[in-house]
Amino acid sequence: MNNLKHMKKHLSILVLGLVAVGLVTSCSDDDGPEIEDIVDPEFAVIVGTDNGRYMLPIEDLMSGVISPVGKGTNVSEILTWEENVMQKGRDIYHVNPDANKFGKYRFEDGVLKVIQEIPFSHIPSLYLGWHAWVSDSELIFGPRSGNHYAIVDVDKMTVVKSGEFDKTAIPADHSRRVFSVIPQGNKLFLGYGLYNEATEVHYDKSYTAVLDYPSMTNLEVTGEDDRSAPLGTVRNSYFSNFKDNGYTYILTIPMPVLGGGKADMPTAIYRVKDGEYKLDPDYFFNISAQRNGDNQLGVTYIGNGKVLLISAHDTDTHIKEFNDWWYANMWEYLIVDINTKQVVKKLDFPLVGNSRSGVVHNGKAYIAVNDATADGVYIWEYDSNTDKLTRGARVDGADGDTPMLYRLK
Amino acid sequence: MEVFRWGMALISILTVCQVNAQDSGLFGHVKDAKDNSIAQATVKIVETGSATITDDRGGYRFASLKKGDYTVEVTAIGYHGQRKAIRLSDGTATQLDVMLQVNEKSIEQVEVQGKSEARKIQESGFNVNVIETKQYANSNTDINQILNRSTGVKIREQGGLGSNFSFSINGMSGNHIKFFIDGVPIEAYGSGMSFNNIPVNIVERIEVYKGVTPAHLTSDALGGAVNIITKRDRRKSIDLSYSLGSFNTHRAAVSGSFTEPKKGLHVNINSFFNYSDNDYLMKTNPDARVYLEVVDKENSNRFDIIKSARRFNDAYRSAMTQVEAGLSNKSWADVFVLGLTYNNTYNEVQTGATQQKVFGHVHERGHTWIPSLRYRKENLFVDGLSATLFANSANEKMVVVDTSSRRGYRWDGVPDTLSAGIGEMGSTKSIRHYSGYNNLIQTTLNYEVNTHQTVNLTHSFTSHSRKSYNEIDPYNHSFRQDNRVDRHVVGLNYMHDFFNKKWRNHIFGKYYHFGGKVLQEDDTESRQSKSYTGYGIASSYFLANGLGIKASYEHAYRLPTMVELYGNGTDVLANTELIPENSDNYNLGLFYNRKLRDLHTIYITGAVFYRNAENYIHRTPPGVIAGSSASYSQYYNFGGIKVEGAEFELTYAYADLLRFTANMSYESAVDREKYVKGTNRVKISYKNRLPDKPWLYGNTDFIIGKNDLLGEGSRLEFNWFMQFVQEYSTTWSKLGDRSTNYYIPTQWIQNAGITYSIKNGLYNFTLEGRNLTDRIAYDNSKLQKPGRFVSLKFRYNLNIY
Repeated sequence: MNNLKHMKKHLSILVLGLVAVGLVTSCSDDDGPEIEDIVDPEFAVIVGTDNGRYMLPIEDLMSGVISPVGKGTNVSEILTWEENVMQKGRDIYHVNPDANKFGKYRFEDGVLKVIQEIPFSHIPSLYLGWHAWVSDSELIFGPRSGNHYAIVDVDKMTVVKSGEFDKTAIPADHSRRVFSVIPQGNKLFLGYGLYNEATEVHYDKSYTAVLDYPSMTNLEVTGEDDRSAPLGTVRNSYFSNFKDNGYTYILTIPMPVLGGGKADMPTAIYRVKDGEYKLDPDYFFNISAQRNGDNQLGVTYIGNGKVLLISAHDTDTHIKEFNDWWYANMWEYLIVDINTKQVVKKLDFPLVGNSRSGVVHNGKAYIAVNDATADGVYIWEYDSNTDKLTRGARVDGADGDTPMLYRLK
Repeated sequence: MEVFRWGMALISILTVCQVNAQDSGLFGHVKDAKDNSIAQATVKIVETGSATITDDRGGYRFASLKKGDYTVEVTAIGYHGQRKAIRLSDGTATQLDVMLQVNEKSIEQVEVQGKSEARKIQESGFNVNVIETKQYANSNTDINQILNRSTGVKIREQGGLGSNFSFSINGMSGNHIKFFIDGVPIEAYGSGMSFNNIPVNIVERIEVYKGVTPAHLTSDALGGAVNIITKRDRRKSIDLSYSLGSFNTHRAAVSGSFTEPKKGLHVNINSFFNYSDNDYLMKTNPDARVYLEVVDKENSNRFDIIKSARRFNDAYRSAMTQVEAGLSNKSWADVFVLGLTYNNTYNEVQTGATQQKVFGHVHERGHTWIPSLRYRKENLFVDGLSATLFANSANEKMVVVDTSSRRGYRWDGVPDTLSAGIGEMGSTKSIRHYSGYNNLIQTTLNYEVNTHQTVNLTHSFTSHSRKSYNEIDPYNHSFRQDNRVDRHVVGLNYMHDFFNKKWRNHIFGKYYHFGGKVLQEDDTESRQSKSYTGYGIASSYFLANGLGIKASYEHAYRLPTMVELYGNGTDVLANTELIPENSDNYNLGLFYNRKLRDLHTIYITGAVFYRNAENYIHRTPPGVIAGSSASYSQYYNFGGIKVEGAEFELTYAYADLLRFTANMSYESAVDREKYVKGTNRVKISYKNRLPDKPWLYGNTDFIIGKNDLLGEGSRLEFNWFMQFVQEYSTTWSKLGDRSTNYYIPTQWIQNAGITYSIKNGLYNFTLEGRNLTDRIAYDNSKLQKPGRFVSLKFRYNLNIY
């Protein structure tokens, strides 16, 4: 299970002629229509064996075998907590909860190299719940289900600021659990929930707030909504927001175990308009309602309003033991359209194993499909323009987990 | 302060003993015509009927004899007996050395009857190492360190005295191995009793059963078992020792026993105290890619690498006292003893699972009270039927304290953060209390049908429950930890000898039953129970001239624990579908035992083995994170290993002058799970050797000693002991670019000691050094062990049989 999030493409042009795309939970730059700027992208993959994870270069997404035998870097002792990985281009950032450090690493020449590691103990739990880029060089992140944050300048490798979000509007005996932070100009938009410490109940509501950046002051609650929660990720590296056409779209992750543990709530998409600090009251896309109550996780934003999700099908039948959340073959790939608010397609696979990894290039999404009936994990290309699925390279060694794909440039 | 008090108490006891030792008496040596010491010879005062047995150096001693004329009778197997008359005067100790002549006619008899208990067990068919601890009694060592010299055994410690350890027998480790004290599962004594704190001086013998475990050790041992036999029920004996070593390490032990034959009164005392600061040097070691990073004093956003640093939160203290008193040789009981054991531990926690995670103040303390009862009756109802009963009840209290408000300690002892309310282990402070209750009743019936057949039936019942709470949880949440598990294990063994005891077979079966009471989320109570049956055989055959062959097999189980099965009420969910781990274990071995011209003794054993273990119980991935209340995990069955290996040991001794032992163990444990879980895809690690396991290791042990070199009754002995572990990979060796993989380099660890004994071993002084070359050693990936350790030990040992 687990790993990172990756990319979402988008973020496009970069400064100084370098182009890094990518990423994750949020992209800071203004976004516009698709710009395919990279002619010759590079990709990498992390595979998890039963005892050790390996980061490998990918020479060709669409043919051959990608295998850790004699190749790649054992990253188990570098990227010690898979969910704490944050990526931007070739650079991988990671908070190591055991060693209390924040590291910058670069994947080049087929191996992961250490660029710099700095002391880091600035938040109470070093198991991350979310992250976002507030500028090209500044990364903000926070612990799982908490109210703290830290901002690191990844060029200078210094902790710029850390602390707790203003506790305004948190009732007595309650705590705030932040699930997403979306940069909006010189403000940060927060998606969060409230947890009652005495009764140990996390309310079935999503709350939003805004505060000034970089001063991190003037926090104001901007709304609440009880249709779905949590508004964002419980585990960092899960895909949950992207920009399209002047809006940031936010996927809720109520799924048990892997998300907020709200089995009775639907997975849904909300949105917030650029420059505004409230959820768009006229927009609510209830995905579960179209899938007979199934919950979904995000995989990647493909472009043109199309999002690739993976859906846990009929968990009542498939989950016999806790472990099945990771290993049961019960997942379906879905394409949803955020403009028409429709599930437009289910990709033509049998029920597969848990996988939430995908990269995008030229309107084509590449996913690592963990089909138990196949002779291996294969990368599949989904071309959203032609609606065509093509089988590509086989990935060996993904014994303990479905591989995570990364686009390096 | 505590150390001082213990030291004073010990000195007082020693003083008393010394005064007694000055009384008039008789002492001496028993030797053969070639001046070799004769051990185990019986020396008897005919007039009083009192008798003793000579020690390893042939020494004997009678204290407190009144003045007068006596006849001393000396007998030994394989020798002609002898009587001598002697006159003792008041207040003085008289020396009488006796020389015995070899009785050629009884040589053959010696081969059979002269075997020690250890040798008998070794040749019983089981693949077993039996270690008699008397050869280590003067060394400053605990049970683990002795076992680590044994074939097929690898103990991987995480640090110094009292540290956690992983015990491996023939490639199987962790909870696949079970531990016993006098046949009683060690869990019955609470967590304060452990093989890393029990000193050698209270132990008589250690048995290591590999793969196949005899039925009388009633536990679910998947890969083997270790049973230690403590000293007790002697006529009159006392063994006192105290040692002082590096890192402010103090160890004291008392083992005494007294039997009054006329009234049948028995008293046994075993007690120990250990303390160490464990403040050994941690070192940066680029070869193993280990760096001690601390925060740069000038720039808190940068690391500085330091060469070495002392451990600063690793002190350890443990103490145990066991007193038994009772009666023997009564019409209603051959032995009836009541006992009380108390143990107490204090342990500072220096690191997490790796040495990158450093704690500065976390510590735990606990204590256990254990009343017990032991009863034995021979010839119950019919001749040849004996019954023994052992029962105890352990109440253990433990507290883990994490209240420093500091976080992110580095090896220079400086924390990154100081903030009210935060914990070092969890995100908030905690004082977590645990209460454990263990009750055990173990009954054994042994029926000797005739001289060739014995039937043995053992039943053990254990009941285990546990509770916990966090003393400073501001919201006073109570955790549901009041589940209980009861277990019954029944072992039935049938032993039969054929061909004049040349061929011996043990056939056994084991029945396991466990049941539990579980409180569900909605407060309803449910009960669950399951049963399994295991079985096995062990056989040995004496070919000729000291050469024998042995083979054994067992279909063994390891039952799920209470937490694995029913969860812990906090972060582990129940999985009542769990099935036990099981393994088919095979051993085939040869042994050869020869004594040449009464001077040279050779003992050689060799074995090959195979294990096929499946349905390992694992914990689910991520899930659990400290401080994250919404995270859970669960145990599930998956995977397993196949192990094949071989081991070899040779011991050569020349009279009592020298003794040399060398052994080597090879074990290849490979992943036996062919397919990725839930698929038909072959795993990339299938049939690959498991990483992070030593696969080739060995030891040499050389002892040379001379009696009477520095005076009558003295012995000077030198010991050199070397440990070898071949380089091994901590990751799958075929995967990844080799430059990015991790290896633990080949290790050669040198140890030596010198012992000076006087008065036939009554007083002993040992100077000892471990890891003399100060090698940086690791057992568990990257957890550095102590460097050079020097100690001085004093031991007083008096035995009157």
